[in-house]
Amino acid sequence: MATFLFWNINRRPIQTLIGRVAEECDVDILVLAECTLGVAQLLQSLNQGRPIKYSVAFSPSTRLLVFTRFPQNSITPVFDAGGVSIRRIRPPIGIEILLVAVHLSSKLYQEGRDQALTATRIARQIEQAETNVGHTRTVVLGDLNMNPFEPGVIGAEALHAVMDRATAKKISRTVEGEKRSFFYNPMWGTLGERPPGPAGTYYRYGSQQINYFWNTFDQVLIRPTLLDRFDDDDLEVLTAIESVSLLNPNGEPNTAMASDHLPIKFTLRLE
Amino acid sequence: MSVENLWGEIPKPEDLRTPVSILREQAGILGEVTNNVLEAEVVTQRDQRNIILRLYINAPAMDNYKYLALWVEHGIELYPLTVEDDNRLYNCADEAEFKKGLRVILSSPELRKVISSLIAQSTQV
Repeated sequence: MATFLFWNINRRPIQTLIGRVAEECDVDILVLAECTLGVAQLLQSLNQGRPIKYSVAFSPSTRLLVFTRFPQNSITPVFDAGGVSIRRIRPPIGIEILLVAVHLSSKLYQEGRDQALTATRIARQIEQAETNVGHTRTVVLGDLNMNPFEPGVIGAEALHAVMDRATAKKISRTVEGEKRSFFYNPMWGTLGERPPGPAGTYYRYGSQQINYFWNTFDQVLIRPTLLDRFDDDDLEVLTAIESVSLLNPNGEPNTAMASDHLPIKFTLRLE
Repeated sequence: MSVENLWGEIPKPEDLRTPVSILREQAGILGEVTNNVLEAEVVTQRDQRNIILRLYINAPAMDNYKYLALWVEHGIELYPLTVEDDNRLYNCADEAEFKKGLRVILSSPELRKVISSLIAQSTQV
């Protein structure tokens, strides 16, 4: 069983919380976005008193950082382009997967249509990486800055991530003559207040006519080839680390104490 | 009666240095100076209005790892164009400005760090 955790930490100096969450959740692969902390500082927090130490995987930029408890040679870089890092993960025991860590441009800098077009390019980059490594055991993890229902996530030409397993298990569909592979997007199940928990991963109060307030920008997308190894109950939007709440008294992310995004955690049976 | 040429003097192709040819030259240089430990390639994409050129650095010894170093966007008239990477964007009115922007990006500390890291990893494989 491998545990993955993603957190956009909004440039906050919360290395102690990161160390704690890694320990509490027994995290094997940790992906951080908007991290301005030094790698050495983070490794110190992550490794203090731990028998198995974390190391940082090669990254050409600090936009996304990947840490792992797996042996250092278990992660090899495949592709990097602004906000997208594709890594091949070969755990000591178990199957190899492709991890696509993403941190896409914020809605402050890109309109929805631009985001959707960017997502189509990323979809092609993922397909190319899958062709190069020879399998489609792919997981996309990160801050998409789009909700699961937006064109860049759901569109066939884009990430094509659907809300149910049965559809995703059809593997692909042909749209306007082009075969487009599915992802399963389990984050649909976390939207709103049922089941109990935060209604999203990021909260923004605004004066626009249409405002969702809660957004689920932080997502994990899973290719159908991995679905038998993934249990929806093992996906969680974290609201507390040990006894420390990540929410303010209004139930929104506590930006003073932690980040404006909540972390997401899930497990995959790789062995 | 001879037909009058209203086209004026059409520039010869060799007089025109397109952004893609400038990028390809630089791509070739990377292979040369790293003894082909690293290679670079230019990928062209056309949409309805613009041409987008992407310069990737490839590390063949690292299972063909690819890194997007910069991208250029221009219309049918070649200039003005924009050249950008993760950290900066330049609007270039002509070839001289394009080369100036390109030089800043290609010799930036961030890209040097990536290149030296890729060379180190490639030669350790």
